[in-house]
Amino acid sequence: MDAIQNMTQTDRDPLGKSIDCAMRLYDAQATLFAPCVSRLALSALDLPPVPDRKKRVNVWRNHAFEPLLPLIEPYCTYRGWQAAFYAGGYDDTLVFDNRQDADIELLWLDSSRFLANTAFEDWLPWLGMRLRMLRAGTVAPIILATWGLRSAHAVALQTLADSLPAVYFADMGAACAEAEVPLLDSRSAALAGTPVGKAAQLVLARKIACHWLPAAVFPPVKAIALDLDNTLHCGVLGEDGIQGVQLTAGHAAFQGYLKSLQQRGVFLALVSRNERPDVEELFAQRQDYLLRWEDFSAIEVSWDDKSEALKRVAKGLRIAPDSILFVDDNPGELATVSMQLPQLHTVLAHPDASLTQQVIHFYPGLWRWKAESEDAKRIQDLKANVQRDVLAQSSSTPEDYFRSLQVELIFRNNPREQLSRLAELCAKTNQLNLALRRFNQAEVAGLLERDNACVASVQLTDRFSDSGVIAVVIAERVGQQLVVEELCVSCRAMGRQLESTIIVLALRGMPIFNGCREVAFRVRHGPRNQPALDWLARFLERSEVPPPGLHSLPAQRLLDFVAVEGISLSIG
Amino acid sequence: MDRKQIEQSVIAALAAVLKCEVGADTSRQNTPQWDSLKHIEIIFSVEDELGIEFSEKEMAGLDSVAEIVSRAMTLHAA
Repeated sequence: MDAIQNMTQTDRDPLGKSIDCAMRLYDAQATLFAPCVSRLALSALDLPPVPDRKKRVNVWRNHAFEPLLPLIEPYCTYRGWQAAFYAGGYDDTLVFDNRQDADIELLWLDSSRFLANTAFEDWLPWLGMRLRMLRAGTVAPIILATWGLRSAHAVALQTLADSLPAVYFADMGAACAEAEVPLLDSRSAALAGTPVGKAAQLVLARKIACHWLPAAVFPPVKAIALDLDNTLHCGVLGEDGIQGVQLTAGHAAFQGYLKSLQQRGVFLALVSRNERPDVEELFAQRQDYLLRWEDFSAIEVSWDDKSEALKRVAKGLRIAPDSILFVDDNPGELATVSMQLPQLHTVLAHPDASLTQQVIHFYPGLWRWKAESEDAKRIQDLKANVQRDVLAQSSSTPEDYFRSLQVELIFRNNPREQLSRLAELCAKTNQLNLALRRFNQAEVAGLLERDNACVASVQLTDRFSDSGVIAVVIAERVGQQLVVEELCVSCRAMGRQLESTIIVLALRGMPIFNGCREVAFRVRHGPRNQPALDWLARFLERSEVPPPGLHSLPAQRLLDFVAVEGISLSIG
Repeated sequence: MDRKQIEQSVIAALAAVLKCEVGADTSRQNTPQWDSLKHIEIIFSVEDELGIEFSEKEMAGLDSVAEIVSRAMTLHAA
């Protein structure tokens, strides 16, 4: 396969170690995220160079992909990464010849070439067979980008993708229908070697660069931190007063959009330089605001430095700054914050709130391939922490606390139905993650099928909320040793004195634990997994953090372990 | 739009796509940057900027500023 894009490399950080770079990115937002993108304006963009953060994408195609390359590149640059596309010749037979390892496998298929001579009902199983063959050869996510000739075809293609681990159907027809542009154009077929029309190319390039590829390989954005004045409304509260600030039609729609994200499980935080009583009063009085005070999972209203406020937001939400998207109308403020917190994502709020909404809608990492029920639980679970804290203060012993909280842990071995959640835990857990193996969906699917391995999940519920699946433990039996290859406990469950019970009982419940003499924990040191290292040090009764490598102890230690009292245990 | 304005738009489009200096005498023959991929971008960009559509048959053959301007003039007048 040949590289089909020349890459430039520098070691500069596009998100803003220099104010100049940050400003150029904010200036570009109006062009990149316009409702109708201008090809010429896209070509004329002068974006700062990106660091050497490259993802290799293998493209398996039967029509030209090259016309989209110059349209995709500015979006990747905006987000600070490079997509290096490698494509072979056109191949209707999908033999995946000379395949090299990649971060993403993209099937770019003109379905009409197949369906001209073959019934859809015959093509679908053949396509499934080819996808399974590719799946067997790689653990990278596979994106099937094509379209159906009828809506029933798209449903069938989606079902096919859902039936395979880490295979995603990128419905080109639906993307163009949503943007109200025609997908196909015979003029494009003649000039560009693809039937994808010129307007559709722009729509799909943005979709690929902002939604499809990032959702397959980047950690998700979990929270949106919002400034108030000239972001959620037009005007300045301190100057215009509660009734003076305006909720324009654009700002009303923007608030509605943010509310829909919140209902989907994205945290909202309010970060504003104002007097807190004034802001509380604003939300109490302005019944026309779609966003309510209680919709914000974290609120920082003060005259403090915003980067410090955002650090507190991250701590309160128990997420890393690189999971937060900060929206503010002051470019200087954004640039300053991104110098202090370079991992944080930043977006400039425009006077036209519909543009701000569009930028957020397309911000890479926010869009997901499918809505997980676990995501929606996140916000309620965080709110429940306040009630848990009250209960903890009124309980005399930890056992009383657990009993009154009605804590239940549900253990499951090899739960195939939880595959995407388990892979998500491997990808997202940063703190109590001991081995940092980062198994993806295809790798977890492979482990689920192995006789000498076991994937255990743990669900946590209490009287206040169902926290959902909060832990995954993956182990392999090697002779008389059980090797723990992945151990992730979500931050949702941390700090409740349940870590050892969750981990030890998950391991003890695995069929492959029976008869083993030793349990070895694989340890890797990362930038944020100190809590996992501290847990293992305590469990091994060591005074120092265990170094990277394998750390074993007799299996009897686990058999002798006594779970905390007052909690209910069950097998799902 | 008169010929001068159309020519200016075409030159601006080519300069943005090819990222080099472009004049009235620029052609595919004397501009190595003007490869087949850039040609697609040029044709579609000019169409969008001028609000015209070249025919399927003629698109591939429009390989100089002069030819693009002449054809655009005709379509614009129509």
